[in-house]
Amino acid sequence: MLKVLKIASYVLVPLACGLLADVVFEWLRRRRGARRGGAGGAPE
Amino acid sequence: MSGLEGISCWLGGPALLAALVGLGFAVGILTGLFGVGGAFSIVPLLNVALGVPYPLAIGSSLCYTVGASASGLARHIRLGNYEPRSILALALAGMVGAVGGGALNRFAQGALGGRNYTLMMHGLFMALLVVTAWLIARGERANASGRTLVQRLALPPYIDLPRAGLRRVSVVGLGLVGAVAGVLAGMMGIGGGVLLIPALVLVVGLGPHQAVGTSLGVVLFSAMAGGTKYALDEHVSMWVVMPLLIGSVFGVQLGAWVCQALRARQLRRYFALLVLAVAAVLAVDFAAKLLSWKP
Repeated sequence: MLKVLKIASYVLVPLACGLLADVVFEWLRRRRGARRGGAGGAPE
Repeated sequence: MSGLEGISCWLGGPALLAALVGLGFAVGILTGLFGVGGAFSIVPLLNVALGVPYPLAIGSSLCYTVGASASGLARHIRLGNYEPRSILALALAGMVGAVGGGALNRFAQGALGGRNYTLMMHGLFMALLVVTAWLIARGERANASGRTLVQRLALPPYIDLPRAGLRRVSVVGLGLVGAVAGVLAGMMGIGGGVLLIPALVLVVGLGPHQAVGTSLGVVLFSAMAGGTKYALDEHVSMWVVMPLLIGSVFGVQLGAWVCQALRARQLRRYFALLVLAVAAVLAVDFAAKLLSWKP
């Protein structure tokens, strides 16, 4: 069981980090867009 | 930092971590600038510049690719740049191909022995880098003919890809494209986007933007399957994966920012030259290994 978790972590930890980075940078982009263009955030 | 022991022949401890973050940052800049993953340069540079054995470099590169492609795919899904049905067929075949590529690599290690195996991998990467440089310098050209290769292929079953405006596309044809990308991923630890994107445009008939998002989906699943195969063989180190990923996250942002200041044609030329420079480094190492060989 421990080995399965260890193997899965090699793939799932980078996956989670990649998605987290996307969420953080998307939030920063929207915040920057909101500052520049008023309320509503940056359009995609 | 006991986990860092035995990863590199030349560096250890904080120096190795800093070099890995730096490599991730440099590759991240390339990703931000040119929109391709850059794993095709990570694996040879890990081996030649940092002395990481090929199997560990490939396994770690695949797990790094999982993180990098997940981030890119999430953004392209929000932008609608993907073709869901083709991702399913391509990714399934890509996963099988990646596991097969991993097994092929393991067989080559056993059959050729350490030195010949390294020379074979150097040769494969040099060929791949030259093809990559040519594809980048050439640029993406949309399919001009009416029906694409996978539409003309008389191998049922067929599916429609309404989002791409394609009818009667051979699932077997899609599977073959995915399988080739998967084998390359498993064998060499590359995401394969740089080859897959032109294939999706020219062979499948997707638009350039759809091809990028779809390619990222295929790369993600292939890298997950290949990464798991290498993890089972104990050829993955999180001490390599995480510094690369952390460096690349910031590099991508800088690359995307610089990208706005440069023209597309200029960018392509610089990137092709950079890829050829990595191939030249490999060629020098290849020659040095051959010359130092004593039977």
